[in-house]
Amino acid sequence: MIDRFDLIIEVPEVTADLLLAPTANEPSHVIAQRVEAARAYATTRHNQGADCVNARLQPDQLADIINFDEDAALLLKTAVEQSHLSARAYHKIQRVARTIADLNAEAIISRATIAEALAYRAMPLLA
Amino acid sequence: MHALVQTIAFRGIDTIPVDVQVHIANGLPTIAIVGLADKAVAESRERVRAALSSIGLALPPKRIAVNLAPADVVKEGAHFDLPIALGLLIAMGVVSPDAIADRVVLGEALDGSIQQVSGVLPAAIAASASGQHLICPAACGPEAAWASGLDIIAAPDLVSLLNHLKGVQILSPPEPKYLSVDRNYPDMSDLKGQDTARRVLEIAAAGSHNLLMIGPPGAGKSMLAARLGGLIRTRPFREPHHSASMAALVGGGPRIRPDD
Repeated sequence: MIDRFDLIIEVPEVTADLLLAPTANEPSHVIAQRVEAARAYATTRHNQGADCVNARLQPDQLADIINFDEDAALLLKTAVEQSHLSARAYHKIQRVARTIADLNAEAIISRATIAEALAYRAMPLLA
Repeated sequence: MHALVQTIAFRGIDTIPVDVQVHIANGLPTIAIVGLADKAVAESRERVRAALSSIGLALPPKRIAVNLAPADVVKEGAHFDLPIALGLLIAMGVVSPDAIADRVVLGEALDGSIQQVSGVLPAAIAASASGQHLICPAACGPEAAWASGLDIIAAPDLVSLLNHLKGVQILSPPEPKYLSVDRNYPDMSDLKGQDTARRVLEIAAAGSHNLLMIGPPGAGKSMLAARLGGLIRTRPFREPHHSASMAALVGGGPRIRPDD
């Protein structure tokens, strides 16, 4: 069941220091602009129609769309081997990495992007 | 005196063409709406009366029958106000029947203004498919304009609609736009800390990824989830109780309606 999530994160308790901090975080409309830009970037990349979002990319589309650089491919391979990731997880990581790259407006997925995508599968939490 | 205006009823997001037939005859002054109208449609009698009086017209003291055909389809929603009002105006001789001959009409009316209704886009697509045109509330114009191949009149109020139909003052056709109605989501700036979670929420919004948040009570998981809607427009946020059964989540209600 847990394998079926794209993103799994831990939301820790907020420390008193942070709660009392006067600084305000980014407002929604700023983030919404980045989200919209990423979605626009994604639609120009694959001409599958506006509804085709990264989360629903099929494996054959993934193969067409996803470009890793060498380091990234190596990291993904190592992660799959060492963490015994399922084939499903392997695809999900690619989709999430694609979204992160979209947010950065990068055509090619870098090692850092794969690393970030891997970090959002907090499976150890559940073990 | 007889008039016919075309509108639609919804079954899910499918549309069923409905004719609003208005007949004014001599007799005791009454107004009756027949044709499987539900409560909201039956109440349209009072709204239409108010709408006409707001533009300085009184219903004729005659026997008025409004039939919604086909009579075996259940009609729900407030969007029948405008077709009924226009039907009355035609039957009263205020509007020429030719003005709306090939138009599908929908909108809610109370005071002279025409209120937003849901389901305008499916209505516009259906009208376009059958080679008809559309009259809808001004607030829904940008939504209707996504359908192509039809002429849309998006009127803010009855007076401007009548002026447009008479050719006195022409309304400009609407441009397609995303709904600007803000669903008033809480803002991300309310959150303290949770940098990772905020970043992940952004990723989830950008790629429509599903997301599982794990953490102690009070950490802000629900606060985060409630704010997702503010990052991707037009996604409603539902907060089912954790003990809600599967049937409670997916079931409920005899019919689904547009806008939910």
